[in-house]
Amino acid sequence: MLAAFSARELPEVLKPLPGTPRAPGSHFVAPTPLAAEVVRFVGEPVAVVVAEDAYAAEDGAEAVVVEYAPLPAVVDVEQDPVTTPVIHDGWASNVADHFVVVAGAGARALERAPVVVEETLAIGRLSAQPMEPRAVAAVYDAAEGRLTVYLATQSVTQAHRGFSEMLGLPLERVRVVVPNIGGAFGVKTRFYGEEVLAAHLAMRLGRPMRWVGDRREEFTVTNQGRAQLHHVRIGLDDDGHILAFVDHFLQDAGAYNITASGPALNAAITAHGPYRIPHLEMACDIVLTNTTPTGPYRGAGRPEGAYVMERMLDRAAEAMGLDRAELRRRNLIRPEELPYDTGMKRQDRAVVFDAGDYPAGFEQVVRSIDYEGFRTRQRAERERGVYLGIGVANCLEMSGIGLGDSARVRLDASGDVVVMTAVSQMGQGHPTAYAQIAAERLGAPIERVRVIEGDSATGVEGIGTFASRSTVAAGNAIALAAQRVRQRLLDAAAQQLEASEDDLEWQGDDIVVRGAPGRRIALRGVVAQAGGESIEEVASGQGTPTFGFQGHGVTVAVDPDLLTVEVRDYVICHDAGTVVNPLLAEGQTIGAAVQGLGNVTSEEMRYDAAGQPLATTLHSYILPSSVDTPEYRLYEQHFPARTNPEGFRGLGEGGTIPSLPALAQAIEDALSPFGVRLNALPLTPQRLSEALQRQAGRGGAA
Amino acid sequence: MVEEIALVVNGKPATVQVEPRRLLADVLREELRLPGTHIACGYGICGACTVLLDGEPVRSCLIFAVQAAGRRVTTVEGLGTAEHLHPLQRAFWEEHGLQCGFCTPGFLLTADYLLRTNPHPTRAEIREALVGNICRCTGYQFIVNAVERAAAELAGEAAEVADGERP
Amino acid sequence: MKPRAFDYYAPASLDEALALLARYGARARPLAGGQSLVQLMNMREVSPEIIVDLNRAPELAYVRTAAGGGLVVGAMARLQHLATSAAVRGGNAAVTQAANQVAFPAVRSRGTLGGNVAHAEPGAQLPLVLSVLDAQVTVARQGARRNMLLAAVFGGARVNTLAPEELLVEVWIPPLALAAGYAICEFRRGHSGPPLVTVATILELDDAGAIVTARMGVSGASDVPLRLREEESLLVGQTASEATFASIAEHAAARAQRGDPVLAGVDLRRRAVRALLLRALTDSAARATQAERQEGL
Repeated sequence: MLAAFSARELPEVLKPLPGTPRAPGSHFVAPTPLAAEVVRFVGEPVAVVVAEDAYAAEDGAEAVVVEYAPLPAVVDVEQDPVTTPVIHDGWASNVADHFVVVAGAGARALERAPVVVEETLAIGRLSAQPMEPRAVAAVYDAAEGRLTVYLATQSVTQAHRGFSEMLGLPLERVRVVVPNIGGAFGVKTRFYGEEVLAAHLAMRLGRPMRWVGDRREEFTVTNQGRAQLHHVRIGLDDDGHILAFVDHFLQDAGAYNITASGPALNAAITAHGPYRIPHLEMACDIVLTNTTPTGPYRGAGRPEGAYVMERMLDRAAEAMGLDRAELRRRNLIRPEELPYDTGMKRQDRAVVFDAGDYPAGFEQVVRSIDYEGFRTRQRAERERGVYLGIGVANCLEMSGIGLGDSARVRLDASGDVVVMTAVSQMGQGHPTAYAQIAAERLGAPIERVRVIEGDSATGVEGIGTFASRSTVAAGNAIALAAQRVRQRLLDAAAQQLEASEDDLEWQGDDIVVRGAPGRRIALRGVVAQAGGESIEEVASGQGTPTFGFQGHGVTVAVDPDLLTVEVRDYVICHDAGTVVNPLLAEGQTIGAAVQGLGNVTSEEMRYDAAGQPLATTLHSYILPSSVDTPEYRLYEQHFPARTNPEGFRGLGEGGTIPSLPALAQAIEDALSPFGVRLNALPLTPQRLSEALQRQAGRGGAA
Repeated sequence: MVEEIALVVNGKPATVQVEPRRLLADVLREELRLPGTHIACGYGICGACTVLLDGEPVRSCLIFAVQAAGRRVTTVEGLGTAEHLHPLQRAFWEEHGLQCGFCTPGFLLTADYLLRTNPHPTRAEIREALVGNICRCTGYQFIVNAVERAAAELAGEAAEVADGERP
Repeated sequence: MKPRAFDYYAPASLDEALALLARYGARARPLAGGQSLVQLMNMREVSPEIIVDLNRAPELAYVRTAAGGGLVVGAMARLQHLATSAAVRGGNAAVTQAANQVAFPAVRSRGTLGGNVAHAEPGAQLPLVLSVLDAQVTVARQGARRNMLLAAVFGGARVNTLAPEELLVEVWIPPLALAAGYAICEFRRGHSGPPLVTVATILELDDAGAIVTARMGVSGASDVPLRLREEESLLVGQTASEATFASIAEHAAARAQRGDPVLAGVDLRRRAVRALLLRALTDSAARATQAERQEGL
């Protein structure tokens, strides 16, 4: 072992980690890279040990003795303000932030509704569990005063700025390089203490430093997700038209409010769904507990939002004796009503649903899952002791948030094209998709296009990869930049060839007049004429968020004894907008849907009353396997988004969003002979067993 | 207590000096500079670290390197190269059977073993054989497509060889 | 998740291995397939000072047919071998099935019979099935051997009754009766998770459909595999029927005492025992009937 440090020995970096932008007035509180006086959650780093290899480093970490004086732990998000201990000094309570999203008359409209249904719905805490744990490597060139950090981050620009800020280095002396990321799903968007420590120690000790997380750290240190509790009321008229939707919900932020606001706001916006809702009020308290901080995780609040709306529609349908699909039909926004201003505002901008055909999408789902024929089959199967259930759910996937991603497209005289962006690829296939966009807009052969992402040295800045925004943000920027490059190229070529731009084509190493192969000019010469060694353009992605329809239909068989869930059929219809690459689009959708399946049926992050996490290995946090997953049947609509020039829609999270309510509905439907209501996720066999026991306690069948 | 061990990795002899506690996965990645074997959980559940030991799939995070002395190890680097992809690798690529790619080497070697023992698996058999490999990105469907495709290609090649033609 | 340091020996023979265990006693642990032990070592839950690697002693891996039928299996026989060997299937097909149910191919290629049994994991299939079969084990120490019922190996959840200098070296597995029907049923949360409750039943029926012999057990419902002897006596002589089996299953379910708050509490395990036992008894009876017919009885 080479060295060991606690917070006391590292005063230079004992500052709160930089965070994502937050709303003014909110209590944003970030941890320091190491805990100084108080440890507030299991997993908060306390000391760092440096060694020649991971084995010795673990030996060293074991040798560290920490004396803890126990403090009372807060684990529930519903907290008595009088008796609950306050987690951070100087705070009046553990409520870090509060916001309200309102449309129309908000909660007051509920008073006029003939039918009001009320429910408490909970979405349990989850862990993203990418296959590659977080990792960072840092190298410091003391002679030059230059720091290079290799970091699996979803936002290279944020990381670049963060290292500069935390370490007191000018931006131009810091370089962040993002290598291949082995999955992220939202939890690699923020700063973690290990990254700062690795960089600082590389500088301090004069040696390259590496930190690679292990699976236990992925469970305890890395951001967790979801963890919301909703008290919801829905008001309808006698014909089943939604009049008002009112939700007061609590977002469990964990012990530090660094990244909880994003998912909470997303939930508030997404609950609306593709339905006509004249009055809405979504009020949220962001509450701290002594648990791992929460933040964006695949869907980042959108699945939670869709869950509450869709489950309330189910409850309302039941209360009114209406079929669930029919109730949805009556409320789906029709294509002629688009663009549809919801009356909500997000970051001072109106939330407007831009394009699509939601009813057609929903009908595709209903038809494909054979919703009409299902009841007959369900009855027949029940007689054989097989409990089938069906669920249908919709959402609008908000994607492409945030402005400010730029892209650089450079055409070299050799004919090679380089595309640079600041988003990160972690499996979505950006190098392929972005090469396609650039190639198409440039008119270049795709083999000549190379994509460089995640390197602050390119000088390209952006917000990063999350919230299904990359293709929308970076894709538009690339398209625009590529178009400008093409324009300059053709201008110069047209001049030299004395031809119209429209007649020009890029073939191999030449620009050729279409139909007259003899009239050609070497690319090299054109580029030289236009820009010298290369033609380069930088552009910023233009556009505002777009909303894409996604509907799921699922049939399940629930073992009435073991309470295990088998998916029999799963249909997805989603508006993919302008699709760059069909395989990539499908892959994202299926992958996201399977995460939702695990989220509902087998995964659960639980804490005991003392704040001890109960599931910290893959033995007890069960991820879906190849045998647990169905063959998804996908249908696509292609309504180009109207809010960005290319018409792109984000596709990374939609597969998860309606999967939570669709599966919950199906499982509840399967177990309906037992009369049990399932309001809280997850629906693991253990949770279903508890629900049935409670039902039995109330005198129902078990 | 450092030991010197000799083993054959991807057909080539290798000699390393290791503490007994060093796991085969770490020795492959670091001493032998074959980083294709990935450690995702480090305790044998996820299957990402799967390599072949004398042709059989094993979790390299559950074997001490010293135990592999005198044995033959195949990692993903031994399955194929960028210039000469194994049909499984090509199939995964073409069928989009990988997204982030971190779990992929383990899948490839497990699938290789499957196709050598069951050259014509059904989709259900493929899913069954891969149940010990966890993927968090793809949802498995395109992985199954890839293995099916590779099975067909390998069967076709085998048929050609059986017919006396060269594949 | 890297293990602590240890001293390593790879004896070339059983005698050498026993000598090492005799010398080091509780400071040493034998290493068989490693699928359980190395997992625990990587997580630093177990950190033996000394590892005695049994994988270089070839005399411990064998499968032989026993004199009166059944199998004699060396402790280092690999689970994948047990799962695929025709000799094992011929000797006792229930063992073949149990072996096939263990984890995944990559675990079975290394995991061993002795290791799997000695690890004494609640919910595991082979410890249960072999207990139900009244299998016996040979336990060796330097200079001595003893035989006992395999069921006596289990002292608690992941605890075996072997002394530190002892090694499980051989398992004798009786044959299945020709007309016996067996079933092994599991409850898991998801297929990547461990078996939480496993039930094994073996029945023989007479021409009239009455149960002549019954063997039943469950693992995962208590710390060690539970042989359901009371239920077996209740069942013998009764006619195989759903009602009979349901009542037996209900009886057995009440005996489940093990539970955890995350994966499966006691109530869920009781549900599982009840359901799995009913299924297993039904399947066993059906197979027994079929086997009888095939035997031309």
